[in-house]
Amino acid sequence: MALLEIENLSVMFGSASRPLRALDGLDLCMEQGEVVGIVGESGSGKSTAGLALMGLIDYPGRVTARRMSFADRDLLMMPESERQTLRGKDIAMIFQDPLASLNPCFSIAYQLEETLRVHQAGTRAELRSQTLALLRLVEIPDAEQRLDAYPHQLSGGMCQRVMLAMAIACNPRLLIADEPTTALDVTVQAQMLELLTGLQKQRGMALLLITHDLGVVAQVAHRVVVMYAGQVMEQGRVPDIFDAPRHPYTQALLASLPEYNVGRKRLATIPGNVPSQHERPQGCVLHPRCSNAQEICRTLVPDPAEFPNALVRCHFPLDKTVGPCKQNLTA
Amino acid sequence: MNAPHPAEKSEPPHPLLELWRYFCMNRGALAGLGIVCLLLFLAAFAETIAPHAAAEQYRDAILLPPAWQEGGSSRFILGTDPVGRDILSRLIYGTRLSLLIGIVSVSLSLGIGTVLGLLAGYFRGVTEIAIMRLMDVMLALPSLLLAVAVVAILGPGLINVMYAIGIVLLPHYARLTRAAVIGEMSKDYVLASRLAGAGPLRLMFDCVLPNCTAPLIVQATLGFSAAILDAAALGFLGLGAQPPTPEWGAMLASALEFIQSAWWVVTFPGLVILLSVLAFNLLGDGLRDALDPKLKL
Amino acid sequence: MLGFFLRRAGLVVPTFLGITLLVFSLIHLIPGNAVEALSGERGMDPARYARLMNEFGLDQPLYQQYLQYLWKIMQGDLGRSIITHEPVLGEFLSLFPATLELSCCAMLLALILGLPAGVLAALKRNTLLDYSVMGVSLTGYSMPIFWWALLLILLFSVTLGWTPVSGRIDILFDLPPITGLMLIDSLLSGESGAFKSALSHLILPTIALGTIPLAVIARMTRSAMLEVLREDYVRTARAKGLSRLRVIGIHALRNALIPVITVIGLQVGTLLAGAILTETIFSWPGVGKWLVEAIHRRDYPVVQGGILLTASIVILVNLGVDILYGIINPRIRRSS
Repeated sequence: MALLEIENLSVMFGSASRPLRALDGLDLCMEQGEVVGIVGESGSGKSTAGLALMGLIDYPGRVTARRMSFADRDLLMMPESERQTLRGKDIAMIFQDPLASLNPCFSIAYQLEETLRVHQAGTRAELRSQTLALLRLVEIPDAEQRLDAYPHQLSGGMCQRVMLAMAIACNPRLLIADEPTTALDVTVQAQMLELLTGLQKQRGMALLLITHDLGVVAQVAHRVVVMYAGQVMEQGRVPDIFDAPRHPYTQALLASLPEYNVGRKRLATIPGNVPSQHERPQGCVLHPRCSNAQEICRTLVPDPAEFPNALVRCHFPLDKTVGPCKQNLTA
Repeated sequence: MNAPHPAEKSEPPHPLLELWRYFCMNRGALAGLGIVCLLLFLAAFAETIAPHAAAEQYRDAILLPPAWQEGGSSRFILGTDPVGRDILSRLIYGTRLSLLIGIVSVSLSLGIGTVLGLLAGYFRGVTEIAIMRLMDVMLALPSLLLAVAVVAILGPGLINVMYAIGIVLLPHYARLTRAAVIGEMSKDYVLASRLAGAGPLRLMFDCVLPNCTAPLIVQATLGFSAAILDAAALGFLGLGAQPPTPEWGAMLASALEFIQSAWWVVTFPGLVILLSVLAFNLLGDGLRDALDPKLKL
Repeated sequence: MLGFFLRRAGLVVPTFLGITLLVFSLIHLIPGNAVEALSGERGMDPARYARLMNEFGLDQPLYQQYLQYLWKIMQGDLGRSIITHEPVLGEFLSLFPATLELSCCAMLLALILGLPAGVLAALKRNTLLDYSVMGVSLTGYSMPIFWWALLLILLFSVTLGWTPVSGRIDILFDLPPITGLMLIDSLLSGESGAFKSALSHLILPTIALGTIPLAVIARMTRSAMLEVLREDYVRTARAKGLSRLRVIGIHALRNALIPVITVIGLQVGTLLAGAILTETIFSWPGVGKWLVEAIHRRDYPVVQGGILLTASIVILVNLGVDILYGIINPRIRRSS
């Protein structure tokens, strides 16, 4: 049985008559210990997906799904109190901006101990030593001295380590990491990623890595979900998709990676921007930016089609034999 | 006109028009603006609108209740005071005084405060320390206490109240202006015009002041409400306008002993004070939101 | 931490000196003669004039007069009232507990109602509740409190007869002043009904005086709360699995209180200024009423001393608020 099963998850904002779909029909399955990357440009709905999994979408946002279960428990029907005990214990999350994500008014130790205290019993001394162990686990130097520090006294990388310690404090089975390295210095990014995957392997937890960086996904994820304008464009195993993307969007994303542009004067780019929720186009959401778009793409939303090891939402999926560099998609 | 040029369409609306559009979204602010306009109208045409003269005493109509109450007369819609003067007329004439106090004291504080702020922000150093310390001292005194102190020096009276309130409001403008000056002076365009040879006066009035008009306008509007309120409080304490001036606070004070027998002599002046203060506060809040939509919560 | 306190305390000294200078110059700014103003006598003979001139030190150069004035203040000598011939400081100290009691009750009322109202309005943003709280608080903020006090008297004392019109306690009770705070003294006296009487005298002045701080605190709490609720760390707190109560009551409120505390500090000035009006209306024997009467009687030593002492209290309270601010906001404490 899969750890996480999601079918047709949607998140809507705005009025009932004119809903704005931040997330539109996400299907996702995750096994225990699996690393899945969600990739997309900003505004593609990937963070919304993470928050919806946590149950942190607030009114006026509305979450709907055909099925959303975690470890065989139905997240949709679950009362809020039960969902609350699940949060931070079985499903944990870390965010993009570590400094803003820690409460400036409380010390590191307080915020860590608080997480432990909510989900488990223990004396003060026990909690304290557990906190210290956690800080050491995330490789914070001089952990004893950092216990009583406040977030503003630590660097961004340190804060993200504290966030990570807080997230894994109760041995979650699923960790959602929303752009965990984006706000960090380039030199720290690699360390952070290494720490994250190391802990993931060591604890055998599932990791949902939300990022805009395909390189990161290629490095650590088993499977990848490519999102655009709230919809999943393509998902499948990392080697398959990176070797032979079937969706023109995936291909364009890959083509814009520096690794694929060695020797070229200009980096390949995708013209235009992700449409905002207010101006989603008719038909396939990608068609205004897609060089392969035909008449049908302007009118009809494609359904996800199954391929071996992949799910692709395109009227004209690319031929498997055509590599990303061989076809000039975006001119 | 029939076929607009395509370029015109993409042109942003005039800033004032946009301001007005934001302002109109705030119903409270519109209500405030409406009341302020009404007050201005009443003040301008007091002679025509008021049914009686402000000081006219009707010996046959002492402490007459409002028209709708038993014993009331349609001649005196809001009733009469203990010496037989028409309350409605006195309130209408009182509008003039309150607005006058507002205008004089706000202009006074705005003028002096802005200059002090400019000086402090531009010259920094000793000038700044001296000015800002003085402002701090003034801010440390509660506004009404400072006004009372000034009146204690100058003596009671309408003119002195204007000075007193002008002095009380001053530090706010000085602080705002100084902060804006320091903020603007560090920007590149000021440096550029400085390098181009602009003198300090030109820098102040061409570069810096236009950039802090928005908060100053908001502060001035709110200053009006503070001025009206403090003037009425001083009048009530017998330190402001002296009877028989139809000043709202003084009207209240002179009717105190009749509070048990004649509710109207106390109720209406206070209500008018509340409404005008509320109106300027609503207007000020609305302006602030409209001038800086980012601040809107 | 100690350094932070000392720095803050150091900032207070120049402000205090500025106020002494202001109050000192008051007597010289009054039109007419300083000797007459300080003694309250008019048309005195030249010999007495010279004697008083010397007694008040007015024959010395101004800077020396100021230094002398400062020296006297340091020793607690603020001069004597022209009317009662009592030391100003003594009069102030005997009246201050009444003002303190009233102000504390008013602030308590403002906090007890204002903080929850602001938090609720922020949580129920753009609902009827929010609009009502904001409407009521804007009205309260614009309220001429002297009129508001009269309306309260008109309704609760005159029409309903529930509360007394003026004073601190029924004249039937003759309580020895122990703390000077009537609520406590009446309890200590053990006389039955004394506490109830003191309390009923306190209700209306408290409401009248507390209205503006209440309105300001509610408005500020709402906007601070709205800002904080959007912060990332609130999302983190929820992601940790904390209860809604804990997220709002601890993580959000603690941060929202930082700006609110500044505003509370500023309201102390509003309270003392409002006390001038409230005490006059309710015949509350406190510092505010004393000061207004002194101005009417041209009792300048009292006016001088009263303004100096009131301003000093405001400064001290604001210093306390600054320090509290440092305690609640770790960023300020360490970085400065």
